[in-house]
Amino acid sequence: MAYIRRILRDPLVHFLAAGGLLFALYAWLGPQDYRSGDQRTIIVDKPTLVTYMQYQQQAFQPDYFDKAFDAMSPTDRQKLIDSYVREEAMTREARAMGLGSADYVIRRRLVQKMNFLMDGASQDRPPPTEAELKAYFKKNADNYRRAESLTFTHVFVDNEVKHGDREKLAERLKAELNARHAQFNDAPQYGDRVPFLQNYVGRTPEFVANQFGQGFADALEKLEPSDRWQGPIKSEYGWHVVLFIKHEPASLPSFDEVRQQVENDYNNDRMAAFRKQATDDLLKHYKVRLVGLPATDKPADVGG
Amino acid sequence: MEGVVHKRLGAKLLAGAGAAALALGSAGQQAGAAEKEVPHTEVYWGDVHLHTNYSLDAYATGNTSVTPDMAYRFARGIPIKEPGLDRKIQIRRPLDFLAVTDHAVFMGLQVFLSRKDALFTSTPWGQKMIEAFEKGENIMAASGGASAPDTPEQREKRSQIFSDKIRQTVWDEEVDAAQKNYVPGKFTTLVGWEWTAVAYNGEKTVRNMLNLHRNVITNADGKSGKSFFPYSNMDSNRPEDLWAWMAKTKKRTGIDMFAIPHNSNLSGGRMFALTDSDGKAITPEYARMRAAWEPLVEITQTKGTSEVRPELAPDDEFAEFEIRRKLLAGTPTPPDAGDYVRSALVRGIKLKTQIGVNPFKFGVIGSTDIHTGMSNVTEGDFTGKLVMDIPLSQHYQPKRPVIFPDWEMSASGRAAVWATSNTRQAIFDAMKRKEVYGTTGTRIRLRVFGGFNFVPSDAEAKDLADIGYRKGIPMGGDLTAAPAGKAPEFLIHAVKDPLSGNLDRVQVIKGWVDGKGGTHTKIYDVAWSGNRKKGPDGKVPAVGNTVDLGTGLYTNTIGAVQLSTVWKDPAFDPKDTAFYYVRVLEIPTPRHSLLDAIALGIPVSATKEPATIQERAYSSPIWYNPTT
Repeated sequence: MAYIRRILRDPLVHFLAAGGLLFALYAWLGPQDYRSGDQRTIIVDKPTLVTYMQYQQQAFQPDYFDKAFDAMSPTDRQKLIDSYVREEAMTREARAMGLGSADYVIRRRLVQKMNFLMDGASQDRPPPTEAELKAYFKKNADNYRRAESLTFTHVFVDNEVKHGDREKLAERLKAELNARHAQFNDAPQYGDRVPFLQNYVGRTPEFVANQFGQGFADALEKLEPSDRWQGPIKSEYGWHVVLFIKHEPASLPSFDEVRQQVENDYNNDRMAAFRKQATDDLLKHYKVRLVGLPATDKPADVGG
Repeated sequence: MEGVVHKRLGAKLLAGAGAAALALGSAGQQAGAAEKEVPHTEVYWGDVHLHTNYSLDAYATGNTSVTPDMAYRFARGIPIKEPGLDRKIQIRRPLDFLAVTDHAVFMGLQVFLSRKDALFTSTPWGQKMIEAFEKGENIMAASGGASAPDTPEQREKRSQIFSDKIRQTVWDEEVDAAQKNYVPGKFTTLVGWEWTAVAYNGEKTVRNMLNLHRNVITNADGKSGKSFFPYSNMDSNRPEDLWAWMAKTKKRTGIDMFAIPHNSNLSGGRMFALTDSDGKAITPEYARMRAAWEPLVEITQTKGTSEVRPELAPDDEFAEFEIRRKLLAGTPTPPDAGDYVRSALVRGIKLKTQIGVNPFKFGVIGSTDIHTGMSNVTEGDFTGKLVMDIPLSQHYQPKRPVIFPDWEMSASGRAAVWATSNTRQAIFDAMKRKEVYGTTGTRIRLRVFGGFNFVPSDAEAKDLADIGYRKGIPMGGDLTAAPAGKAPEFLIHAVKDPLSGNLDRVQVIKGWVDGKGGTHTKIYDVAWSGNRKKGPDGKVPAVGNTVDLGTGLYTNTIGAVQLSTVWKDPAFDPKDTAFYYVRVLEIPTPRHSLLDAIALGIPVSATKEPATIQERAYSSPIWYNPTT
């Protein structure tokens, strides 16, 4: 319903829907439509004029124009009627002369209307079932893949702090951390103050490389996750003893995590597929013959 | 104490390779924990001044395509189509928060004209504007603007093309865009707009326009944001009226808000004048209103620095930095103490001693004022203030007259906020309490605390922030009368941006009023990289420069990753009202104009701009109040 309400507010939709409807009505009623009467009578009533006013102003607010129409002076109303009658007469003559059939603006508009009708028909179908969505998710898994991520903490030996051999110091720190079975959350109690973050939880390799350089990120990625402290790894800032606990490769989230996204994608795909199917069905009623063109890969007659 | 950089003590690292290692830094915390709750703040990076195609001037200068929604999406890290070019563009470092601040006056005008919105087709003036738009006429001029003469015709036009209905409809779309992009914990959107007020230096012409612009930032959500529409300079050009409107609207809707003045540097002395809009001396009532509704000032942005101008601070060797000596329309403007943050802070404390209230008691942030909808501030990614400036040829040989030549613009700035979480209310609250700072685009992490009981080793502590909150107050706060024999101390910790240059130095800038009413400022170098020694003038010599002018590359072989210190005011008189703020400088890195020159194969001198700059961060001040 929300969708219907939204499209009803959209002026373009009004424009297209009204156009589509008139088109359909015309086809159904043909020349017997009471409004057109015989070809030489133009029947004018209030709904016609209110619609006409809205198209003239490219503004679609029936209530507003209904009131505006009622408030018109007889002179203004006559002007409106004259203007409508002129346009209607011109339109009929143009149609009779076959103008417009070669006009690309009109052709495109008609195609647009057809597409709109098809999309509307597609929307009217029942929403996808969970099973359909799950199948779609499975089939298009690559679209939902998550980036690789790393989880680690570190104990830091700072290049800017006076130390002896920093690498050796870092080795000693590692031994001590492992001897004490220091945990993830114990890291802040050891080593020098870290310049950026203490803990890196579920961060991408790019994020880590942006902070400590590509060399550091590469070295870290080569390690196996473990509950033992590892390293030390050198960065441009110093040495890092790391507790690297999780290395998640690019992975697929569960269906539930991305359900909404899947549903949106499913609906978009279905609409496109429906449109293609509808066009293909239409084409079955046509034959195509190429005249004066070089041969193509496909047979000239594609229709049924 | 002054100037002493406390080297972190290597001896503590292993505590003699013994048992004490685990105890590092935790004892002090436990001692004080019961007395005071320590907030856990993290720094969040954002922009609270950005325009989209809903801004009249942005659309007129080529931004026909980047909507508020796209601006938020770009800041979140989502690719968008680059305006004017047939390619996608993605921000290199997503932001944590953003306020799109389109001009309230004629907000969304061209967008609505281009889609022939019923709100315009239904009125005669609306139709005329659509015709003008379709003929490609100048819509800014056709709209009449706020400075058009107040004729009956203009009034009628405004009532049709700037009606309450139109203003509300356009505004609701801005609110929707903000709400749609709010991801609590990850990305905060703030509902805001720009109040584009001007004064005139004499005759009412564009050339004489003095910038009194403010951005209004609110804590409104997707629903409450629609309970009002933004106050514009069409409603009034007087800041006093804006404050009164904010007070009234807050009372009616419950939405909190404040205004952030920007480009005081282009105000012809008016932004921080000693008089009100009528030229009368500032009263305590005016001062109270101003302090209440304007807690922050934008200190840096694309149109230059508003910290200080060299002519006003001959002792500041770093003041010649991205200075714009022109008004909005390019008219030269002389140095004026009413134009700059540092002199305004001095005026504020002086007024405090005279009338009892400080009207200029503000913190500082940086933001962009970019009109492309793309908040890009790194020198390498900077594409200019306007869409028409994006093509490189436009920087070199403009085909059209240029109002804001790209090379004169600064690739700046950013708002840094110390908040308890990345949520709308937490970010808003931190801004209101001034626990914020501004940078020229770089993401230097800067902690500043003021107090009377720090010890030198606090500068080395790993829980420096906990100590700072426990023993002192963060940036933006107040110190009251000093205990006997004590002087204000500042616990400062600056960390470089991992993707930018190392740090050159940390400075404290002090301003004060002496017993005779005389005002002073002094700059102290308080922490710096390497083994440089202060000269006889008390200044640390320049850090050097590693930028290769041929390639635009630099190395971090000079400068420091972190600088921290406890600095105590060495010339403190407990009776003097004072303020202190911190400035952190990076080592020199290439300016965007140098990178352009290299790309174009022209000498950098042709850009008439410096080849390198020292990016920087400015903290909000801490005030010392002897009596309150």
